[in-house]
Amino acid sequence: MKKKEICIFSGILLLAVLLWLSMTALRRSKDYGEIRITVGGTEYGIYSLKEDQKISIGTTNVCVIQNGTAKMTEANCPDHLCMKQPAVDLRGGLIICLPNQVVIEGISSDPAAGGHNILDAVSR
Amino acid sequence: MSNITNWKKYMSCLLLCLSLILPLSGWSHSSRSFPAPITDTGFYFDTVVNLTLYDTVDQELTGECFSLMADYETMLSRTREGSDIWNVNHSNGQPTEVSAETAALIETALKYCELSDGVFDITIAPVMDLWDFHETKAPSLPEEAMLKEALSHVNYKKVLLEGTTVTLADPKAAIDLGGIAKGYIADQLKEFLLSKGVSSGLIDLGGNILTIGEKPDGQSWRIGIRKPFGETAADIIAIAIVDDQSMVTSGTYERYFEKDGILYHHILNPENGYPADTGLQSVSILSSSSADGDALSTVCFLLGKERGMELIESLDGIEAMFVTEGQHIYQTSGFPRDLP
Repeated sequence: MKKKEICIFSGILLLAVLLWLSMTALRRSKDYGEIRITVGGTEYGIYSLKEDQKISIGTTNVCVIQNGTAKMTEANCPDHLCMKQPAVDLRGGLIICLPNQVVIEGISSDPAAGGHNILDAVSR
Repeated sequence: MSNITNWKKYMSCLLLCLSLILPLSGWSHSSRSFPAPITDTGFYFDTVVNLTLYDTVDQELTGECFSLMADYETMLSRTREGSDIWNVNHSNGQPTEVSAETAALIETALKYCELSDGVFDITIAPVMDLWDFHETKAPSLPEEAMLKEALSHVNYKKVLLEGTTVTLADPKAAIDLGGIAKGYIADQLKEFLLSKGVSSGLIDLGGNILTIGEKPDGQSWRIGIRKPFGETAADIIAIAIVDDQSMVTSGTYERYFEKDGILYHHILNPENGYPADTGLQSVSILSSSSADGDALSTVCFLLGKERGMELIESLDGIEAMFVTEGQHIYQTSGFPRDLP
């Protein structure tokens, strides 16, 4: 009887641990990240980095998502500095087009990831 | 009868297990996640300002911060007609009245000019004007003769400050506070937010990071240091653990052009008017005041690794991290670096 109880008890515990591990793994794999695009400080849209796509930002800028990273590919401003800025991904980062006030921000799509191994900011 | 007892036993056992399981699995996340912060983005000083404020519900605060920024921009911008700095630069050597804030910032800036023995010089403006780091398609170097002429007007000792009156003893000298203004303004924003009861937040002023308190969950902030010339913006070379402090990085990768295989970057050496060649790619400064960090990151870049390291070790409460051209990292004894 006692043996049986211990068996069930540890069985459930084992199951819980397995369940927890698989849930964590599942959550991780689901996080492809997103980009948040703002124009003049107001949100223009949030796009998943999961699928490759081309996004027109108003009539001024175009951004392309490829292999989980986003880059600015077109801009009608004179200096094109934003097109030279490095790509952003789920780990963060900003692409900034100052003349058009367009900002692309890489963000994690997992709200629970606001925790340990993601950075709060990058000094650049 | 005994079956029922067993059943009850199993049930209580199951409940006990469940109570153990639940905190282990997904439910724990709700207790760990932060309350939603107030975030806002603005454009000032040719750069992007990101504010993240925890532990406040006052939606007006970020707007008030931005109007403060706008005020400082109209005071300190060199290119804005009628600003304090514009007035000084166009005074032809006549005494010019400036705001108390501008005077305080000039005073702080002059302190760093002195500390660095002119390696950092706020009168570098005439030289800066000869370089165009925005033009990257067909970049050109300034003419040697013009550079020499401009250099002859670079000398911070010609800036005379008395109360709120600024006089340029050399009428052709011109002030540029770009090397310190952003840090100073970040400090003012922090002070304002503290006075409004914000005890946890993050000010990102064009990559100058100033943290307020600790994170809402009581942990320290994790600030990445950008990897010079990294492929993605999140490419970092190090992580620093920061509480209630500022992290400012100056690097060659911020603004530069290449010509004939040579990289010309925006951190100019006031001695010869050319981009400073000290074998460094970036310097990051950890300090309480972001103005200190802003000025010292440039000072240390110009001094180079050895002399910069020496200077920082001689200063209390300030730490530095240097990235060399080979991307080796050197840091002062107390730099709070975490493994990336």
